[in-house]
Amino acid sequence: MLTIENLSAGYKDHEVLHEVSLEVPQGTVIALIGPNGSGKTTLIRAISGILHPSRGSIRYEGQDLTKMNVQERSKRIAVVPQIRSLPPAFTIYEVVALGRTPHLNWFGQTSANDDHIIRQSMAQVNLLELAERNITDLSGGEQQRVLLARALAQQTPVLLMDEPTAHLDLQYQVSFLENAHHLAHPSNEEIEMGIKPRAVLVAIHDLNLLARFADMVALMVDGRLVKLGSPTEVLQADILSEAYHLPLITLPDPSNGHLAIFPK
Amino acid sequence: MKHTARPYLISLIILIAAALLSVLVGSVFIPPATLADLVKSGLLGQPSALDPNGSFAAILLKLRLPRTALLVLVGAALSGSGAAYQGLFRNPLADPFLIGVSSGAGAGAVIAMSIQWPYTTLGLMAVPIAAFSGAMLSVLVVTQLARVGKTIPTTNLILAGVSVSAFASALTSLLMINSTGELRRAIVWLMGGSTLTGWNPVLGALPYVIIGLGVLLFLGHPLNVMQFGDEQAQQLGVPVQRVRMVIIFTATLATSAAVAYAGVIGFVGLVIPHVVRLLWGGDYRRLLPLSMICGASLLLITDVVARAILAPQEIPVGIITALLGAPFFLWVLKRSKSQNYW
Amino acid sequence: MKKLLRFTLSLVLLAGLLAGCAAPAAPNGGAIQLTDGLDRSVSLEQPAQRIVSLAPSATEILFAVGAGGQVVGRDSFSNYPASTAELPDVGGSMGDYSFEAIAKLNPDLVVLTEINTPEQVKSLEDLGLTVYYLKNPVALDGLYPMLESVGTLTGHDKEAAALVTSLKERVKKVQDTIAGAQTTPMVFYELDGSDAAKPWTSGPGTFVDQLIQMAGGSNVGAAMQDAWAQISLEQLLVADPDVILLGDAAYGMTPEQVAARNGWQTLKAVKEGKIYAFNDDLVSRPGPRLVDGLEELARIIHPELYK
Repeated sequence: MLTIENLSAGYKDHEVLHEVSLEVPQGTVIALIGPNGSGKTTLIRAISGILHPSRGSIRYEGQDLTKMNVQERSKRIAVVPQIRSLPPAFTIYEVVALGRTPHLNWFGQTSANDDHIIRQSMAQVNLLELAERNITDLSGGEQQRVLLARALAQQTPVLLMDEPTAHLDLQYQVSFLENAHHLAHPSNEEIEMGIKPRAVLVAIHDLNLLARFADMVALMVDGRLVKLGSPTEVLQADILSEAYHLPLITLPDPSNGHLAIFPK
Repeated sequence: MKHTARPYLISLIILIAAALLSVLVGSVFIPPATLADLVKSGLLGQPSALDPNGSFAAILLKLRLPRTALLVLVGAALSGSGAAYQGLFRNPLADPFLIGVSSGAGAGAVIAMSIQWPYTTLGLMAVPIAAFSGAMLSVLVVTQLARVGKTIPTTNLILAGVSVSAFASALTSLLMINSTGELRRAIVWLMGGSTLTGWNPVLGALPYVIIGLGVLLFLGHPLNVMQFGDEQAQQLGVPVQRVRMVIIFTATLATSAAVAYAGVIGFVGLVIPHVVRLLWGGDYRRLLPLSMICGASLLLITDVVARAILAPQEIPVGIITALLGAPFFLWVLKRSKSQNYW
Repeated sequence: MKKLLRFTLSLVLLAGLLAGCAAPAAPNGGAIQLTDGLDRSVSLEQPAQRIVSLAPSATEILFAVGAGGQVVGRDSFSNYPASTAELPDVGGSMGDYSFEAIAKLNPDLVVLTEINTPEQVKSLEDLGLTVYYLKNPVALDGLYPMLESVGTLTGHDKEAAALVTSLKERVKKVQDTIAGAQTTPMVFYELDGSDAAKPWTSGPGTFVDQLIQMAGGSNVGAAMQDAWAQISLEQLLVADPDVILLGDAAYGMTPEQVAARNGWQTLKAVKEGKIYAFNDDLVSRPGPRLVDGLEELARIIHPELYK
């Protein structure tokens, strides 16, 4: 679905991404990991159009994304950013409604169908009852879910998430990532209702939760994609130790086989 | 977001009342009987018996009515631009003069005042034309200075705006110090208040204000989205750089015309958007038109005060807006119940 | 560049808008026809009977030619002669006149001078009023045509002519007296002394400068660049004037305050107590009282010739 080929991008005079090639198929969750500065955020910014690539291509279903205008691109790619400072004068409904922007006219007029999608998105993250609350009255976890709902309302086939669990309590981290997994793997009833599986790329730094939700893991070091594969393939002690410059050991959880990663 | 008609109705009623006040009040008192007779005779196309010299009719038609019309345009331009800039820069202290309009206009005006123009239509319009050009030129310089590649970051705009404003102000002060008779004229102009009377200033300002504000009314929703920052707005499909350029150009167009014909009138552009926000929320689709309407009302009311309070002296409007604007805003702020209005 | 294009477009639009407007119409016919200081042709059917003056100098001229009874309104600064206080005030202290008050007085002539702006002329014209603009004379001689014009406009031609003759005689008398002077004292005329280290004085070409010369003195300010100039205390000490005139006496400046200023004690004029308050109106308003000012200056500068 989303094909990145030999992508190089950077800022002013120094390149951050070096010839990254990655395929994000539909119905897959790919976890993007790597130490700080490895280019995870830069990659997401390049895909979403904030950064212009210096070389290489980014395609959606064969269409060159860099040739699209901002609106067209935003109908295919949605981003869940990290929560930074949020403007206080918005209710949850209003924030999620902004997700419909690529599909609306200049005045942002919403139809009954738009309203339905907005409410559905809020329901998907369990925030429907809080619709009229002001966004600053919420906890960090709830705010991050609002941003996810906004991205869902955008109804894009591709979802990018930039460290969405960075400021969340553990239970919210888990439920958020389960949500992300669910977006790529809807239930049969949902598929019958017309909900399509998405392609999801999640930049994350906590290695211990990956196996729960990620179908594939992409490891980036110094702007290059050094390893791509299933969680078991990538989450190997030697590979990770080299990437993070730190001796690490992996320990499987006897109950479910999920790997826990510790420094030695 | 419920879009009811109530805020518009209230604002329009206030505007109509303010306009009536502006036409009816002045340093000369026109008795109600005379006024009624004037209106009657005017509609019938006859001269009025109670106004044999025609001086009352002249006062109404050639002084008060055009002045009212000009102030409506100026008030709307300043408040609409102020609201747009507050949204664009995501800064509650932004006002329409942030990126150099007032100082550029001042420099242009003072330069024009130091030259003796021939007494022709064009010569009389020299000061407003120079002020308008100075304002537009100043903003052009600011945008070019702030440019980084293809983008114009807002921080750069503010910094460049501050520096260019400081430079233009210094230039203006230098010119004023070196002048003799023009000093008082320049000071009065800089304090704000229309020095031109009649319908010419109204016609001169009209196209720019209409175009500028008209386009701004279409940018309410993009401004809402841009409150989340350039990146998120772009990811949501808003062409941020282009919207920014258009807002800067149209707001500058309207504000330059306003300043060219009415001098520098402060506070209106800063305070009114906040008052509207406190009353009716920060949705820019509504904030922009309501700010325009309420700004016109505020300016009309303060002008009435400026004209009447020390009659026959006419205090420059800019002084009154500053004196009244500050406490009025504080009062509204105190009355607001919502804490999350910005 | 797109913005530049839009900018020039706006400018062209603006110019185009105005090109459509016609120039202000000039009246024609009438018994009295004159060209005013803005090269405007002004005509009246008969001498003006209801005059509004928007400048103190114009008011003084009107009264001086005998037209005082025809003045129905004046600006806030007009204060001479004393009877002007009873006339309606039409504004002007902050640069804005009340056009409404002017219109209500229904004048048949409004007189302005260079302290008024061309825009104000236009505004009054738009109200249908007849406006006459008096351009400031550059030298004392330029005063006389102004008096004659005002005399013509108000039907006091004879009085204006008589006034001109008497003024010229008085000027000649001063010049004859001064011809006998042995010295040319240095005079410092202070316009504003709030900053004692850099007081303001009248520069070259101003009335003060000319009158001081005609009164047999030498103006310290003549060495300055601008008409309104600041002189540093150092330069003043070097010039060491014989006489100090306080044009800012009306604002409360006294000789005692000047004598007490830091650094001023070494000045000859301070040591000899030759600091005098001076009525600035006499030398700054382009009107007949300039001659009063000249006579006053001569008496102060050359007291020995007036014993």
